[in-house]
Amino acid sequence: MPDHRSYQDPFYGWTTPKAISLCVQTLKECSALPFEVIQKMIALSETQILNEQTSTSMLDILWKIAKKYSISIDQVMLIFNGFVHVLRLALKPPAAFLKPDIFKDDLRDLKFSEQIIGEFHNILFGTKRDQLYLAIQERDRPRLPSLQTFDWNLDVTLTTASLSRCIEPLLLFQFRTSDNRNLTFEVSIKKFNELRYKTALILKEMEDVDGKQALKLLET
Amino acid sequence: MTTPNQQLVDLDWKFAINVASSEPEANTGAARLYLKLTTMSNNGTNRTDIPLSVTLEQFYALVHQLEKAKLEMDVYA
Repeated sequence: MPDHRSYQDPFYGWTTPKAISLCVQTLKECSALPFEVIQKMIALSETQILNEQTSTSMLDILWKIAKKYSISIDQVMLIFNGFVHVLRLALKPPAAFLKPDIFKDDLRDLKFSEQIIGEFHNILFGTKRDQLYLAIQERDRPRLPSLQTFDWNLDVTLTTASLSRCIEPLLLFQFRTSDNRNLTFEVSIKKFNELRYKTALILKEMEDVDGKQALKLLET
Repeated sequence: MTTPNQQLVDLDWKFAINVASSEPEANTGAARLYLKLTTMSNNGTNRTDIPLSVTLEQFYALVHQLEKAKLEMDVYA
C-alpha cells in the first residue's frame, strides 16, 4: 500500500500555515498547560465553527483560561487560532476525501502531540461531523437572501369601484425572504401559467444536469 | 393625526371572495375588500399609493368611524 503522501496532498496545503506553526510553538512554550484545558479549547474551536456561542462569551472563556493558568492572553489566542485553523482546513476537502488515518498522519507531520491528534480526530469524525460540514457549506459563503415562506391567496373579485358584476379571479402571492422583507404582489392568470411552465422547465433541467457524468463527485 | 403635507386624492376599492388559500385554516368564502388610497403632497409633486386589504369586520369598523366623523362634521358645517 503506497504511502498516502505520494497521491494525496496534506489537507493543510503544501507548506505549514503560519497560524498552525505559531500554535505548535506556543503550545511548546506553555507546556505547563494541563491537557483538559487544551481539550476544552479544541471543543471551543468546534463551537466557533458551528457559531453556537457569541464571540464575547468565547472571549470571556479564553480570558478566564489565561488568568487561571497565568499565561498571557496572546498565547491563548495563538493556540485557539491555530486550533480553529486546523479544523477549517480539515473541513475544506470534500467529506469522502479525508480519511481518518490520512488526517492523523498529516497532523503528526504538523508536530501535534498524540493526545491532541486524538481530540481532533474525535471532533472531525464524531457526532457533529455532518453539522460541521453543513455549517461550512451553507453558511460560510457569500449568499443572497433566500425565500423563507411563500403564501398565496385566490380570490374572486365581485365588484370594483368602476365595474359592478365583474367576476374575475385574483391571485395574490406573498414572499417572505430571509432578510425580513415581505413582498406581496398580484399575479395575472397568464403570468401564473408562464410561471408553471418555467417551474416545470427548471425541474426538467435539474434532472438532466443530475444525469450528466461530468458533474458526479469523484469517489476515492 | 393627519400629516400636514399629504392629502387624500382618490380611494379605489375592489370587493372579492376568497376561493382558495395556502394557509392551513380554510377560510374560503370569507369576503375581503382591497382598498387603494392615493395621497398627494400639498405642492402637487409626490403621489403615493397606499394599498390595504381589510376583512369585512375591519371594513365595518372603518365605515363606523367614518360615519361618526361625518356626523360630527355635519353638526359644525
